[in-house]
Amino acid sequence: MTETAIVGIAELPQGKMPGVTPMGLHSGLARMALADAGLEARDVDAIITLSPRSDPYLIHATALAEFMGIAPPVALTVEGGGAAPAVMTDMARMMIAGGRAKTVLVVSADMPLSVVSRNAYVNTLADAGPVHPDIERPYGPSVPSLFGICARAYMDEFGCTDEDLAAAAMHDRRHAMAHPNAHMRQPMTLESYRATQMIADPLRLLDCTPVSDGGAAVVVTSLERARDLRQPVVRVLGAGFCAARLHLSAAASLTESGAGPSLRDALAQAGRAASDIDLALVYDCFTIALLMNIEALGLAPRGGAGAAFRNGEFNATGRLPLNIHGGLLSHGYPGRAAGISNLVEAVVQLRGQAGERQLPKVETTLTHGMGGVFATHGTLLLGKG
Amino acid sequence: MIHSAPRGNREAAPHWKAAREGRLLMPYCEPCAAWNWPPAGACPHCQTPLTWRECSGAGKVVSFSIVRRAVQPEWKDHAPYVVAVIELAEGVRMLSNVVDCPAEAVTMGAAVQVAFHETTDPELGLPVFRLA
Repeated sequence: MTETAIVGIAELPQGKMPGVTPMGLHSGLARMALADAGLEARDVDAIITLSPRSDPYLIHATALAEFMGIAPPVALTVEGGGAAPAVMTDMARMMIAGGRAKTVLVVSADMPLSVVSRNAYVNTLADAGPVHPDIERPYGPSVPSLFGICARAYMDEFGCTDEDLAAAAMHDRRHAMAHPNAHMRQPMTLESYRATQMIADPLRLLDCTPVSDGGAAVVVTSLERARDLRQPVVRVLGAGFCAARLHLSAAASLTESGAGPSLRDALAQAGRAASDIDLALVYDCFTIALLMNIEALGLAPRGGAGAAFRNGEFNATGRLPLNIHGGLLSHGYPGRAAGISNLVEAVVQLRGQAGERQLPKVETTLTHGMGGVFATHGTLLLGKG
Repeated sequence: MIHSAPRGNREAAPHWKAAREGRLLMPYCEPCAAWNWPPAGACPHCQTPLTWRECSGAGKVVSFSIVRRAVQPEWKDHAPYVVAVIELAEGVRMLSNVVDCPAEAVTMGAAVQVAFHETTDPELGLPVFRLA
């Protein structure tokens, strides 16, 4: 198969973006990523987007192409929940490998803070997101309450406490404080965590992501071409996906995230071992999601992720640096685009461009995304050129 | 409270109609001897049309959360309320509410018994649970 590489990236500070429009944000990110790669908009022959909640075009990618004044032969608007960054990147690989495209522009952005009201966004999630419209919605479950059900089952099964949840939230916050693009950068302590209100027991406000304007753009091309472009080469080594169900009501277990097969398949495709991974960016729309996903990916024993956070195992100097950009919990949650910053951080670190955050040794990264309540998983492995 | 009506024209319709008559019906595949929830019309394993079996209504709380901040408009005035995964005595699990008690009184593994609430559709009811 033709090997592929990520040659351009763009991310802006996540948070409130007053005065910016959703199309303006998309095209701005797209042009920044192309400039980062040293390419022109006219080089793009395939464009992949998500339809953002703040600008819900059914055929969004084509609308963006029109807005940018380009006419790539392929324009795909995809749906992949929080696994979308892996889905979009893998689609780019397949199109390049199959000869359909040479330069694929992936743009994933949303503005749930400035353009859609936060309440409207949360309401949509509860109506048509992971909540079953027939058999769950009549009982009034909020999305946090579905994750709260998992959190209580997890705490009950493993004897964990709110200190395990807080350890995940504080880890992300501590690292977000060092990232210029992170949305939430105020210090967090166990006391300040516990002082926030319960949203859906046992989950407090700081167990939930903020809602952010933001997102990112990524340019994918062949590895051969990447070697002639201006940035250090970052290869797409492998991708893996899995989905056992959609709704929590169909879950066989409330405490097993199910992410494991996506990493297994990505490793097999990449010809790498789990021990090769030296940076992990794991999807964390809630603290409990981070703990359960880490364990399902085999990065900590079952019930042990909270302790691993407390022991510093996931710090930049720990045994496996993890979510050192602050995760969704503190880097930001840009609505439909949530998770794309996991991909950007992996590329920045592999290039060696992370400045003061730069890890001394990054050869292989794991980027995980999740859709629904532990429903769909997409894992990407990237490597140094 | 009078709940907003569930959708009466989808696979779960017999469940809601029976609830209006005070019965808890759940979908069952006879050849597989297995419950099927969420209801899919036919068994996803063998494609046999599902039959609706009456359950005793006894169950236990597998896990739960207390919604402090409701998002659906019709729930805004009812927080805090309990959303729970209930395992029925017959072995099938369903999401529901635990009602008629303080939210803090609900515990893991607590025994519950079904009750039936009215909805805005006079032909459709909603199975909920009370601490037994």
